[in-house]
Amino acid sequence: MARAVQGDRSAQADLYRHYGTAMYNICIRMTGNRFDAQDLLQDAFIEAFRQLGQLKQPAAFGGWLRRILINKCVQFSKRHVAWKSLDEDAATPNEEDETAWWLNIPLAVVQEEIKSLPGGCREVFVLFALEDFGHKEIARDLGISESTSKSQYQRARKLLKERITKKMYPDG
Amino acid sequence: MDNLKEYLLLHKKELDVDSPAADGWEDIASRLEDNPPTQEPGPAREADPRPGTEVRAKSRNLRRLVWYAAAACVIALAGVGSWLVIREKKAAADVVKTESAAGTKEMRAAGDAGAAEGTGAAGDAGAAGGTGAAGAKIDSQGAQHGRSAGAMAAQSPVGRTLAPHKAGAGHEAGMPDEIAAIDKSYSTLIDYQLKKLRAMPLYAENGAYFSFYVEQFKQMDRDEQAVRNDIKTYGLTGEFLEQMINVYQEKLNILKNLQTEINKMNNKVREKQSPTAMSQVHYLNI
Repeated sequence: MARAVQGDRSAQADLYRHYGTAMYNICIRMTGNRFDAQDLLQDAFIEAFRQLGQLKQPAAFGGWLRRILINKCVQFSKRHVAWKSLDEDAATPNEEDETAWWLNIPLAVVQEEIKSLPGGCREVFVLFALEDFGHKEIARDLGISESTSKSQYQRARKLLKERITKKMYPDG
Repeated sequence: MDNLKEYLLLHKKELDVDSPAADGWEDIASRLEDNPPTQEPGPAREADPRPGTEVRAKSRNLRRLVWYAAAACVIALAGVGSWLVIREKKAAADVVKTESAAGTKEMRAAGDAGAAEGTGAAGDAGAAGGTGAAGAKIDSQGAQHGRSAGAMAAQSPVGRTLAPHKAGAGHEAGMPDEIAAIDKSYSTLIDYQLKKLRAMPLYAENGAYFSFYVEQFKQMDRDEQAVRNDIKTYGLTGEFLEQMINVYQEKLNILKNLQTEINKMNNKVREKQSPTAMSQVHYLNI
């Protein structure tokens, strides 16, 4: 980390190799396409390396990079998503009634379907379910209401269930 | 906590199945080389006035543009392919409809012509057709045969096929496509009809009995070859296209009439239930 702070390219390359894949997967889930994901990933790493001197705890690099990256993804989403609030009923949590349909689904399939979710509900789903944000935090970052965040999350869940079930069990 | 969320957080690493571009680090390193690190927080990407960033952004945009262009080409090719297939099918369907309508008209016309000439006009019909053989063959059952033969002979094949065809006047536009489609569609129909006729059993009479139709068909073959030669020599014109269509239609008419005649003959034999005739099965060599 010390060498990376000094601008050592091979040390920075090591950091990129270590964190690149995980960060790229956050980007691709947030954007839904590899071009924007690659752009955001590069921007985040460049910003992180340029500001590396400000990082007081080298061990916190991963979390710090992730925060930079998610900020970039959020900024990107705010520019590209036309937000709309869905029916309030859709926001009503119904997970207690739901069976754990996801248990036997390959995670690669889940990843693929998350990426193909419509813009809006995809970002909310990723932030809430995978980046462990709360709806209040999502609402603040994305500039939407909390109820919109909840309804978009429920919509994403519903779509995921429908699409994955259809893909895995095409004959019903 | 939401069960799905809990599950996904637990298996988050396993979800990370996508990999960044192989040259991702090279791009970052090159951008870092162009813009050495600063101690102050950098401005946002959109506001970054550094020239290296612009070049990189342009390169990425170009790469993306190429990818989209390739995708658009694939979609366009698939679209053109589908359009060609649909058009071909439609053309074939149109030809079948036309042939069917023409066949019905021909049959009615043949019946009328035969009636007008009288049932005993078989010999005249043979003479008018210029084959002679058909007229000589037709004797006891010549009445039925004569009706159709008379109708066929009354329509001089060459004169009729080479005469201007008013219905074909609309084929001027897009001629090369049209002739290819017509050629293919008619050839398919004719081949199908020929196969059917070759497989039909002939009771009581052998193939020579229907030689009048066979000769007519051969004459149409010669006419077709003549039109093809003309097209090769003078190029494709509207007149040649019409002639080609007429030749094909005439061929189909001949085969249709021949089929009708064979059916009539076979039905008569079946009605009489003559064991001798039923045992003598011949097939047409056409």
